Amino acid sequence: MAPFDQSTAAQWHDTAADENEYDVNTTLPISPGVSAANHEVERALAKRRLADSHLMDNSAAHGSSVSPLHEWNTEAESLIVDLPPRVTRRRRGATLHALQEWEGYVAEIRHDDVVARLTDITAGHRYESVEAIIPRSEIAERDAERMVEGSIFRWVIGIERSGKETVSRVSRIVFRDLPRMTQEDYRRGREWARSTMANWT
Amino acid sequence: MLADSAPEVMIVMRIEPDISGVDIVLRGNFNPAILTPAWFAMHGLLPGADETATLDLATPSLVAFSTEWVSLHSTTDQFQVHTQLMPYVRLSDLVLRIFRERLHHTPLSALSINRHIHFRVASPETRQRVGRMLAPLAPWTGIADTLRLTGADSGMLSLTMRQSELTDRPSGGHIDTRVEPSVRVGDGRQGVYVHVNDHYGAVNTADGAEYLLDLLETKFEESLQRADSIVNHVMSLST
Repeated sequence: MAPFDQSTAAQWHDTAADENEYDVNTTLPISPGVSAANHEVERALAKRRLADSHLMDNSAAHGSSVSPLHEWNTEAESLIVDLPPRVTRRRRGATLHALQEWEGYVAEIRHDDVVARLTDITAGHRYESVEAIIPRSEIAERDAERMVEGSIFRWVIGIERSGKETVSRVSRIVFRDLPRMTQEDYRRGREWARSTMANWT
Repeated sequence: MLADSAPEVMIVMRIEPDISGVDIVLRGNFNPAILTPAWFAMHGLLPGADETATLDLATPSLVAFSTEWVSLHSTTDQFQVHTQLMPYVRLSDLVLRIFRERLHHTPLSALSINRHIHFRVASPETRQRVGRMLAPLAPWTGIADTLRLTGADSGMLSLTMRQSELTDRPSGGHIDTRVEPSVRVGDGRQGVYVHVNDHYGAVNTADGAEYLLDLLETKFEESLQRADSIVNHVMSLST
């Protein structure tokens, strides 16, 4: 299966949400070297927009189609140029690259903090080796409302890059939304148990 | 205790990437019309997505939207999710929940776990040196001048290496590693892009979808660890 090449990925990432969004469909009056006339141009533009809307209303009401431009022939009007719309450009999403990652589970929920047992993923551990006390303020509100003893999470500490200027060291706790056990899972489990028992009898 | 999919020692890359991401791509039969942020929010797969997601396109044959941490793109025969924010395991969790809890009758025929990284090297000369290591000019002797391969902006544009004899998957699977100059970092002169495509095809059986989802669950982090070691090796060529 052909993966995205990086040019496609670049287009793909152009769709990522970002705060650097430009306005689109902006029509700008321009008068290079005629700065004194900008005021006149702006007024002419506003006048044209208003007249366009009136003419459209009249056309709809009377069934006639009149080109609005035939009505205007002022010097200021001639300075107005309709530019093509600027394309909205969103900056690509941030990257968080981990320097350290743990998987943990909630052992105890207290009023102001949470006791968790952690497994060091970075070190390749398979069993919890550390107990941590995590302030509730470090946990997102939505996760704090849903967590129970036994809830599993990943704790990542790393470098987050956003664009060319913003680099920050971040700590992020993300609770895992693990797939729920389905009836099919239970059925397969019972099937497996039956076949395993059959091997021993 | 971690699940069986827990990795060995996590690879710490010798060069911190500028851009680092993971894709999960599935081939099969999909219905993009239902894969909207509202659907994901309604089923608790992406809570709040109906309010916060950026919906780029939604038609019967194509949907594309992004949230704070995941981007989704689906046609009728290809489903793809992407993230640049660790922990990457939540991408796998999301896909498993979609196709085990909600869309468990979806036929699936192939799975890819893709790792892609852009990183910066010390100088344009360093990047060119890496390119010369991977694609030496010696075999081009005699026509190198004709092709003007010795210029500052000439040389390797893309190189893909394939490993296909893999014992951990059905035949037809492969791991492709592609190395290119990066167009996104290093101002076009100092960036390197590495893409590792870890591809699994399904055997042609009725439970092919479940087989692929089992592979995703058990192999995901192992696949990323392997990809990171490959990327780290490419990085080592520049140091």
